[in-house]
Amino acid sequence: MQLEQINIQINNESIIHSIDLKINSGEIFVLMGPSGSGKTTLLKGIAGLLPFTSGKQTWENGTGTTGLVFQEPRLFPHLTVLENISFGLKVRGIPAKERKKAAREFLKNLQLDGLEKRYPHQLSGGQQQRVSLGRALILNPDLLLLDEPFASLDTTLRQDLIEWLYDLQRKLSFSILWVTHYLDEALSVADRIGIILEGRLQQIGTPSKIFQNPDSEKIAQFLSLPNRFSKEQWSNWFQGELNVLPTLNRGWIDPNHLQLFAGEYNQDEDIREEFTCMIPAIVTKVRPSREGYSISVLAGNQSLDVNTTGWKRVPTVKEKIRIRVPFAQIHWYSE
Amino acid sequence: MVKRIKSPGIITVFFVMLFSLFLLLPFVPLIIWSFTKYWPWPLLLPEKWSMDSWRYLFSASGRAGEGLFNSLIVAVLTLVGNMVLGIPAARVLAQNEFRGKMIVFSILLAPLFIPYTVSIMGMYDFAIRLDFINDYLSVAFAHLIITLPYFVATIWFQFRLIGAKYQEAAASLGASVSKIFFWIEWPLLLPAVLLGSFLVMVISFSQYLPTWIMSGGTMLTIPVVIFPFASSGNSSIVSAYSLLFFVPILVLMLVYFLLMRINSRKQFINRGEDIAIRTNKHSNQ
Amino acid sequence: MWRINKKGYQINNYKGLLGILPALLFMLIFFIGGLFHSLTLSLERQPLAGQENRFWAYKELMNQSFLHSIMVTVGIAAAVAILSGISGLLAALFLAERSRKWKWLQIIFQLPIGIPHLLSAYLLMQVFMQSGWYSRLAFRLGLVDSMETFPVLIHDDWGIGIILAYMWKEVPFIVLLIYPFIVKLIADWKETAEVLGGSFSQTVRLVIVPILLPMWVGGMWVVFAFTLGAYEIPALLAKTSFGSIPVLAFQEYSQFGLERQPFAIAMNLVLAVISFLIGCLLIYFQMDWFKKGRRIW
Repeated sequence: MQLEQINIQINNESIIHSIDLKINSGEIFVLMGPSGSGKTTLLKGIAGLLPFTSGKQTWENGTGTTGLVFQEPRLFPHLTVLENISFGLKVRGIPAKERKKAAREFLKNLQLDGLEKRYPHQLSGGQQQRVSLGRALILNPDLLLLDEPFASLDTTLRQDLIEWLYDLQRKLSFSILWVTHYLDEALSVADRIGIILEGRLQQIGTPSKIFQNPDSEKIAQFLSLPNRFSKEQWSNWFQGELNVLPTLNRGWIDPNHLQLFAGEYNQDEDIREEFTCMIPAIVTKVRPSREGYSISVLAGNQSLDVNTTGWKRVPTVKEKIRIRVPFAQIHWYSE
Repeated sequence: MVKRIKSPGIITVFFVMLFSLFLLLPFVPLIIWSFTKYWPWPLLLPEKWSMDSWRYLFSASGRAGEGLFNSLIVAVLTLVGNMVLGIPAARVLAQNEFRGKMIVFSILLAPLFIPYTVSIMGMYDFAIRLDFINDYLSVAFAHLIITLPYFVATIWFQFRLIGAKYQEAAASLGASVSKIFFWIEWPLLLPAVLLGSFLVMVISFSQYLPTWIMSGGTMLTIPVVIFPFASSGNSSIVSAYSLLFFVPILVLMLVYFLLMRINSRKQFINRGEDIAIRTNKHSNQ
Repeated sequence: MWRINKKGYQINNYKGLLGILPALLFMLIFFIGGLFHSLTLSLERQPLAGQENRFWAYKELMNQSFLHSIMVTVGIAAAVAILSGISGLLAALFLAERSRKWKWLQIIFQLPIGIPHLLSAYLLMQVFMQSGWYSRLAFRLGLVDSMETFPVLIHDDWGIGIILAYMWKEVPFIVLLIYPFIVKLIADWKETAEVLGGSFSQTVRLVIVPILLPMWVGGMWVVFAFTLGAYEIPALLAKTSFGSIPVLAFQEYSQFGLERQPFAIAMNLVLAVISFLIGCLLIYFQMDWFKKGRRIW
């Protein structure tokens, strides 16, 4: 499915600005953005719930169908699981026998066998959302639209369902446009990620591309990339010109790649196999994490995050330490 | 895939128009009739106009003033009864779960589902045997039976919309039960109380049979005054009386909208309501 | 503060229930009590009128013409309830879909709420009579050439005038009752049904009406019960031999002396029992409907 120059206005207020987007068949495209960025509006536009103010929507084979799943399951309270799943078939005028058979078979994919006679309030949250997904999937949509489908579920259940849906998608190979604001969700399923901010599609790319080279500081900020500093700041620390393209004027580095050293400067540590620098800093916060500790330090007036692995000696707050920064691990991007 | 919704068909619009005319047009000849005494078929408008009916209305034998006065007293008494009995009952029904709740609720709503004339005949017999109850009071009691279900249902619904969140918050801050009611619930409840009161007054104004039975045919409220004229077919006088009847209704409507307007100026109440509705919606899903 | 301990909470809870007592007692004493008092009144002997048998009133009721009256009264009430229910539902759906554009329609549809039944009867009589305003309009439009050619709609054989007058009042009532729920149901379910391919009429038939059903039927029952027992409209619009029970009963009650009052009460009791039985039937159906685990509100 392809979108060209899509604009959506609601009550004369522009929500979506000239969006171009192509979703390949069989791919999971994750759309990320903060709340109010227009994700849901775009989704509703694609589903046909809202009219496009201008722009063109085309399909590879001429026409295509979509299915939309909302954040809440929105199951019809007066219908059983089976009736909910076969609702879409019913409105298409498929005879009762056929649609019951189709729905029963589909229950297996949903891992809901034996629950077909239940009413929605008799199901758990995860089961409800599976029914909701099944209700859309049984219609064989060319493109499945998911609007933060698991956001109202708790973490473990969310992860299970993501896993389940991913496997189901690989098995049935339909394409998905998946809206979420969870990074872990995006990373565990996405073939490609799109970032939408203030109604504009800012960047499209593979997950690793997006993280290594965010197109702008705004995107880096939205992704809450750690240790983001300007090139001047980095050159200060490295005490010299840096060998980076002139257009790339900011860089970030993962806390796992920073190394912590206790005490004063020691010549022995400065064996330079690679280009690094040492930043003197003061520890401001120490929090345990799964891998070790995550430590916040203050270098001059800049705050940095450092992760240590293992459970070695932990620095204490206000302790003077130094941080080693390997130049090669800094990801550069432009503001 | 979403099917695009078509604009309403010409047939739908035609029927809606027809029904609107069905509701509206009868008022036209009513107004005309009150200003004429002679209007033969097939004239669309009368040739001679006269104010006689209006003059008769306010003459000694017209008793319009008496009718208005009695109607008003009974309606106010009925309203007071509804407030005293209805609000606490609706509050309990909305906020508590107890055994037999459905039965209690059905008893309170029963006059909606079972014709009440027979009960009122029995009540009248009580009243004449006891013989100390004032006519206004006994008629108001009959009207109370008829209006209480509407009032309780309206208030109950609003209590359900409000939910228990604010009361719990207030209680956790140490507010007493009475303070919770007057500071938290009453302001949130006010729109429903106004609507319920409007309904109660309008229904009380409209009663003919219960008023007649309960007063033994002696109390002249507006419907009791109008009825003989209506059945004898004196169009001009009935029309004037009907228009007179609309006056208190219109005044009530004005008061209702005015109070609602004043109430909605206090923004916090509206916001509270919105939140209440939203949380209610959420809990339903 | 709120619940000091379990016991304190329970006491608090029972104290909280006191609020319902005044209203409950009022209804028990006056509505239910009045009903049973009426029952005993209807079972009084009237030796002065030569009625020695306790059940004389009911015996007198058992005849062909009263049976006919029951049929007529129940038939009219059922027709009014069903016609008003359907028209009210359609009107409420239309208003909920279009009300933003046509606000004045809502005002028109709520106008009759404030008008008493007595006046609604009179209003409709003025326009639908053979000498009424509509017949004059029809004459002007050349549809009829004399008063007598305009169809008989008031004091007619089939109670058309009665049904029209009731609908004038009850359709707006149904709209008032279900409109807020329809607005909420459309807001909740329209999108969901649409993305699954449902058209608006399918959404209404398969989702909105089933969820609304208990409330809608309840509204129709209220209309039915009211119409069954109401006096003013048939008193003004029915022909003398029509046989509407509330009219007959009130004639007996007010015109034929004290000793006939038990008879009038007996007639009204029959109506109350009919409405009660139909109510039980409806509640039974609803229980059955919910029994499988359906839950709606």
